[in-house]
Amino acid sequence: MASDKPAIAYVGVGLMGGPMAALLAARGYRVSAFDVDPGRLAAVAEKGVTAAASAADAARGADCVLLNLPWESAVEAAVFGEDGVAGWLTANSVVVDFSTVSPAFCTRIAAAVSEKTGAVWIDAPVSGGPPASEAGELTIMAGGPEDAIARLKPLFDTIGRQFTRAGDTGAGAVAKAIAQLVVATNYAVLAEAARLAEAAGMDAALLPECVRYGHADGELMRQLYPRIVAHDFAPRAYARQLLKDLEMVQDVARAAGAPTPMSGQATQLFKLLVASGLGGIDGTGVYRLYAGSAGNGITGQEVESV
Amino acid sequence: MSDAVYGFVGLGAMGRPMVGKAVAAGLKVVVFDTDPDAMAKLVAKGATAAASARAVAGQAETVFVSLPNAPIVEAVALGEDGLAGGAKMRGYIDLSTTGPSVARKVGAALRDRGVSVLDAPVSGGPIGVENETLAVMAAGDADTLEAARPFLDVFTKTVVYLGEEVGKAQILKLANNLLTATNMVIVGEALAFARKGGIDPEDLFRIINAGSGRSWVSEIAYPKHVVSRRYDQNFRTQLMHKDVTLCMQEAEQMGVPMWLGTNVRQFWQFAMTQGMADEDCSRISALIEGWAGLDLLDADAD
Repeated sequence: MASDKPAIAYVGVGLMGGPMAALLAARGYRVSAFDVDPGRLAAVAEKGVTAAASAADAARGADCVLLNLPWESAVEAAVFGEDGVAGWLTANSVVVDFSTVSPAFCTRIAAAVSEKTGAVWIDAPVSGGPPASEAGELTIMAGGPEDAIARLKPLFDTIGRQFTRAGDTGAGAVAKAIAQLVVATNYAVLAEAARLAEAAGMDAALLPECVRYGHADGELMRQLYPRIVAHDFAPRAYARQLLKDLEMVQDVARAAGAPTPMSGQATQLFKLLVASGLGGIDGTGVYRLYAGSAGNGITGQEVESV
Repeated sequence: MSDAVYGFVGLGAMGRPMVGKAVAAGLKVVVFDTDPDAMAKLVAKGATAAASARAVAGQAETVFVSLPNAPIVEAVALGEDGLAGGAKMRGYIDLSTTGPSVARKVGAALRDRGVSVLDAPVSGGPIGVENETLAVMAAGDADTLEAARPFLDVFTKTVVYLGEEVGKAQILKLANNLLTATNMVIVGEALAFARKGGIDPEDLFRIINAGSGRSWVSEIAYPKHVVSRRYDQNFRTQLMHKDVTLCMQEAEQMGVPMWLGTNVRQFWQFAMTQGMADEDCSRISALIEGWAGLDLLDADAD
C-alpha cells in the first residue's frame, strides 16, 4: 500500500507543519522536507522525515508539494524563488498550501503555477492550532479542482479530523478568512467580558463555570478566557498575527462589498495594541487596552506587567 | 493670455458647472465626455466639443480632468485615445478625488512625456462652484498652477499650494472627505435625536451653526438638502463610500489607526447594501431618522 501513497515534499516544518510532516512519515508517506530554520528541520529529521537542502531539493521526485508558511511572500519564495519548488513541478504534480493567505493571493499564485508548470494548486488552510496539528485532528478547508482533492482525501484524513471542500480555487482561503473573523473578533469580545467581570466586582475566573452549557459557552470561552483572567499573555497566537488576519478579512470584505462593522472594530483594537508596542504578546493581550495598561502608544515601549 | 485654450475632460456634477462658469467668463474651453448630451449642453453655452480626450490634448495647452474614479483617470490620461497622445498639452490638472496612488502613477508617466502635472482636488461640491467658493488644494508643478489660475479663479477663492510632490493634495483631500463622510452621518444622528425630542430642525441648525458643533455639513448640506427634503446635494452615496474607503486604505498603508473612521466607512458600506449606492448621499439622514421612527418627509412626494 505504501507505494500508492504520493511522495511528499514538505516546505515549512514549524509549529504547524512540523507535526503534520512527522505524522505523514509515521503513516508510511515518504516525506522530504525543507525549512529555512535548520533547527526545525533537524527536529523532524528525528521523526522519519528526510531533510532536504532546499525547497527545490525537497520537491525533486515528489508527487505532491505541501506548504506551511507564515505569510504570502514566504509562499511566493518557496514556489518561485531561487531554489523554489517550481522547477520540479509538472502537469502531474499537486501543490497543497496549508498556509493562511488571502484569497486574492491564492487565486493569483494558483494561476501562475498552472500557467508555468501545469501543476494543480489546492488552497487548504487549517484551523485548530499546534495541539490539533500534533494530534492529527486539524480542521481543513480546501479550494480547488474536485478530482485532485478527491485523490488526496486519504492524506487529508491522516492529518485532520474534519475535511471540507469549500469550492473552487480560493474558496478555502475565503473560508479561513471568515473563520479568522469569528475567532479574532472573539479575542476582543472575551477580553471585554473579562474586564467587565472584574470591574463589576464579580470573581472573573468563575465566568466559564457560570455559563457552562449555556449559549455563552464555547471553545474560546474555555480555552482563551481563563488565560485572560490569569493575565497570561505568553504568545500562542501573536497579536500582530491576528491583526494581519483581521486586515485580510477587511480586504476580502471591501472587495466583496460586505459591511463588517464588528470585525472592523476588532481590527482597530488590535491596531492600537500593536501600535502600543505589544504586537509580540498573545492576542488575548488585547485585554490590556481594556485594563488601561497598553502603554501610551507614542513611545512604543513594552509594558512589563499588567 | 485671453486667447489661451483650456481643455476639460469629465463633465459630471463638478465639471459641468466649472466649464459653464468658465465659458460664461469668456474663456475658450475644449471639452470631452463620454456622454454626448453633457457635451451638447456646454457647446450651446460656447464650449467646443472634441471627439476624444486625445483630441482635447491636441488642441489645448492646459487640460483639466474631473473624473469619478482611479481607473477612469488612468484610462483618460494614459489609455488609448488618452490625453498623453495629444501633442499640444503642456500642463495636466487633475481635479478628481481618486487617492494619491493613481495621482503619483499618472503624474510620473505624464512628466516622463514632458507634461507638467498638478494634483488639484477640490472641496465644496457643485454648490461651491455655483457660489464661486470652491477650495482647491494643489501639489505638483508650479508653472501649471500658474497656467491654470485664470480658469480656477472663475470658481474659487482659496487655492493652497502644497509643493511639488504630486499625491500630497490627494492626501489632504481624503482627510477633508473623511470629515465630510463622518459629519454626514453624525449630523444625521443629531437631527434624529433633536427631532425625536420635539425640536424643530430650523431651530436645531440655527443653534448648531452659531455654536461649537458647526461644520460645512451642518451649515450647507443639511439645511439645503435635508431639511428642505430635496436630497439634492448632487453627490452619490457610492462616491462618499469610495472617498472614505480610499482614506482608510491609505491610512492603513501609512500606519495610522482610525478607530472612528473605520466605523464611518462601515456605515457607508452598509448604506451601499441598502440600495442607496446611486442615491444622493444626503438621503442617509432619512435612513437614520427612519430607524428613530420619525416620519420621512420628501419634497418630491408633496
